[in-house]
Amino acid sequence: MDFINSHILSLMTFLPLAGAAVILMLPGGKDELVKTVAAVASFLPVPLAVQLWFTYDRSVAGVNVASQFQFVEHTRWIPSINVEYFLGADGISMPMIILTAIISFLAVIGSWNIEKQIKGYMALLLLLETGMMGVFCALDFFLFYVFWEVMLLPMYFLIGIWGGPRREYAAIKFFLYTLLGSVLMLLVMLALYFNTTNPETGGHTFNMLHYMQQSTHNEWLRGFDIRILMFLGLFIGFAIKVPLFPFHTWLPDAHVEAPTAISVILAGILLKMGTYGLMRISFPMFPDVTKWFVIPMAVLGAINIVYGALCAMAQSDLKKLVAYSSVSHMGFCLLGMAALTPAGMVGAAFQMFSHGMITAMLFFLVGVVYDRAHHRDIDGFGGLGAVVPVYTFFITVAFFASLGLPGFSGFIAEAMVFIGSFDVFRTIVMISASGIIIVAAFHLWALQRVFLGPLNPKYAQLEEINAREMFCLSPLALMTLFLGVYPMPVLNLMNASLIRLVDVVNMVI
Amino acid sequence: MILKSALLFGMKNPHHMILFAGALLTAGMTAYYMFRLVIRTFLGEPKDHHKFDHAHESPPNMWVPLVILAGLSFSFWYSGWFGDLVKRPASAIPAVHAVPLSAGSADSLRHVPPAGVAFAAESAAPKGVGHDPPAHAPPAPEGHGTPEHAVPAPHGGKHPPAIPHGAAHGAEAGGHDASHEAHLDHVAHVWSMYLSVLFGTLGIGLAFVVFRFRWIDPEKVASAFRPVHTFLLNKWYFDELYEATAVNGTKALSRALGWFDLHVVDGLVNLCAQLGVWASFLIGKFDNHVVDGAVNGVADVTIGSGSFFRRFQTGKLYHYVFVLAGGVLIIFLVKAF
Repeated sequence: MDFINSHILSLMTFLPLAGAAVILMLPGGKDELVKTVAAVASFLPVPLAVQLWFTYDRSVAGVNVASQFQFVEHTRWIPSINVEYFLGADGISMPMIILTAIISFLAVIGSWNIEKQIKGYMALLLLLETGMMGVFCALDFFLFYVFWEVMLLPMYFLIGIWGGPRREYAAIKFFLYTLLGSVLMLLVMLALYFNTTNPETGGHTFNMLHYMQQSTHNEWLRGFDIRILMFLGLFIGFAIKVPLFPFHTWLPDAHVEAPTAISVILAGILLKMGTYGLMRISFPMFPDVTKWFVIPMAVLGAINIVYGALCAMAQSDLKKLVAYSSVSHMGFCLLGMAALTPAGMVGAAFQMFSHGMITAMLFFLVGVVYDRAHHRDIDGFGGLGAVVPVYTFFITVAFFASLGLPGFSGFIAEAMVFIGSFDVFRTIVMISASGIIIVAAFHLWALQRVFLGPLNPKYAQLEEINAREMFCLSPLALMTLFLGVYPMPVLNLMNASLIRLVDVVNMVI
Repeated sequence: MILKSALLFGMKNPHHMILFAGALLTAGMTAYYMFRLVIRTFLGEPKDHHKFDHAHESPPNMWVPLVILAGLSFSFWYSGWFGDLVKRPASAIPAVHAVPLSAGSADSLRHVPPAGVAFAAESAAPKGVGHDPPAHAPPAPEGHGTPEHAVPAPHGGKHPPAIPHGAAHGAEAGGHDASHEAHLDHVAHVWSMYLSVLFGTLGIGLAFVVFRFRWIDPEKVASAFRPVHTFLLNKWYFDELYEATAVNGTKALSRALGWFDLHVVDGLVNLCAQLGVWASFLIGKFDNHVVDGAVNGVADVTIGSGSFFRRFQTGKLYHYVFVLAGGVLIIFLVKAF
């Protein structure tokens, strides 16, 4: 028990990798065994996440104070270049760690009907989980970067081998686009490494918490032009991941071509890495530049909201519609963060968590209908509500949650974002709020075209949603509903840290 | 009460009397169409005997809620003795909007703003916006036979911002003392009551004239004003207007942006990729032909020059002697001139 308690983040990160290793050593042809091992390996982080949930001290903030991080593991990794193995959790990462554990497990269950080379698929999926979990736990920039890149490789193959008709194009586009951002991040990381000193040893450091102490920066790094350049480098790297207009076009292709469970992970977790990176790295390391960039960031957020919603409305492919709705919803995160108010920041973080669950539901649901009908053309259906009422119920819940209906977590998040940002940029918020109408319009319009109206006789025998699919959807639907009624459990988890983050950026502390 | 507020407002701002006239006319029209419904549904000869024979009384789960709602629609619940039984909640409209008119109006003190809305008073009052329509008036008690306790302070936004909200009203009614205000208020109350009863009765009477006694044929009226009738029948064409502007406009915009996203934004991304491919093609050619060409060129020159010079090494003595003689001849010629 002691070992588990003292290495809980490492276990959550590397148990899936161990599962992948076991899977690769299994003899060929035992598909059921492969799936079972994958399910176990991806399930193990879930009870550990529950353990985190119950033992996390919600009263301390973390952010830039090393002593306030919890579940810390800190040791030297590559001493010759001062790389540390430094994991820890605070209120910014806690919701994301929990979300990653849940969504990854559900994604493995949701992949049960994959038949093509299941061994490779499950091994890559587990490797992907290690990368994602590592990104959210790492507090050393080098370690962060390693996990960030580790995630790229399995994603490339998962889209490129198990994807749809244009999978090669989508996989290469995703890989190159993200790598472009990573390279910018790498350059900034090296610049930080060479221009900061570790106050304890006097040498260079990759420790993120040291980067946040402005006193560790040298003369060169204090030049404002240099800081702007470095902030932009990081920002573009993260903006590609979020994705922010105009760096978002990899997303519809990757989401549409990826197999269902991979779309779920892409939208549910990978996108949050962009906003997480802004909160964890860009904002506290360059608070002065952050304040200088609030208006452009808010404008980008508003563009994402309105532009993403209008693009979603134009789509005829149901999966592409959901993909563009993600573009729209991630805009709320940026808008809330840019306000630099507690309500806006908490709203943005809550939107990350809430959107992770809602969009996961949506992609699962699109996958369900695609498995049966083998197409996703919105106008190719009609009247499905009469044939598959249970499926229609689930997708209606997910659509209403996604369009921000009160009673679902998305509404709380959007309301907090608006409350937090309205006093800061009124016009931008008012323009963004108009996006809500468009979001509601395209959701309801799609719902109407697919599930209402006269039944398309081609689908009179459409198979109802099965127990395994409902197993994937129910926890997400229940959590969305619960947090829509009573969001405090998750808000309490992150309040202290995000309020401190706001103070750090405003340089009050 | 709304009528009274409108009348009071119209009395103080005569050019706004049209608001009161409109409200009064609408009250009459409401009476007219409600009695049209009653007369055509319950009175007169049945038009469709088949349906008439099948009509029956509603089950209790339908008529009990109706009876409760109908009972609650009587006005005595909300005034006088019954009205005082119920404690009035604090108004959502901050007290700054409610101008006490009579000295003894303790009731107006009930409209103390809750703490949560205090900011609205701060932000709205100094600006002198005051665009609250009379319908937003705080619910003042009625039926005491005494002057009203509170009325909204409707300003057309024309007052200078410097004047405080409550005093701004006085600028309009400058010099009027409280008793005159109270008198005006009482007049408005009585007249609005008489006029609304009169217009309601007129509306009901007209409904009987048209639909019960049939002295006027509604069809003829409709055909006489056919364009107006069609216009009204289609609800002022509001649905069509929205369809043409908001709905189709949004759809067109979304299609345009969808195209823009696919062909311009993503087009730029693909163009970058294509440029990369072309650049790599050119660099590949350069590498193949220029860089590697240089390497191969050195080899070719070496081989070529070797095979060229090899020809001079014929191994035949008279070739060498001939070249030697030629060389001596050239040196002699150079030296000689």
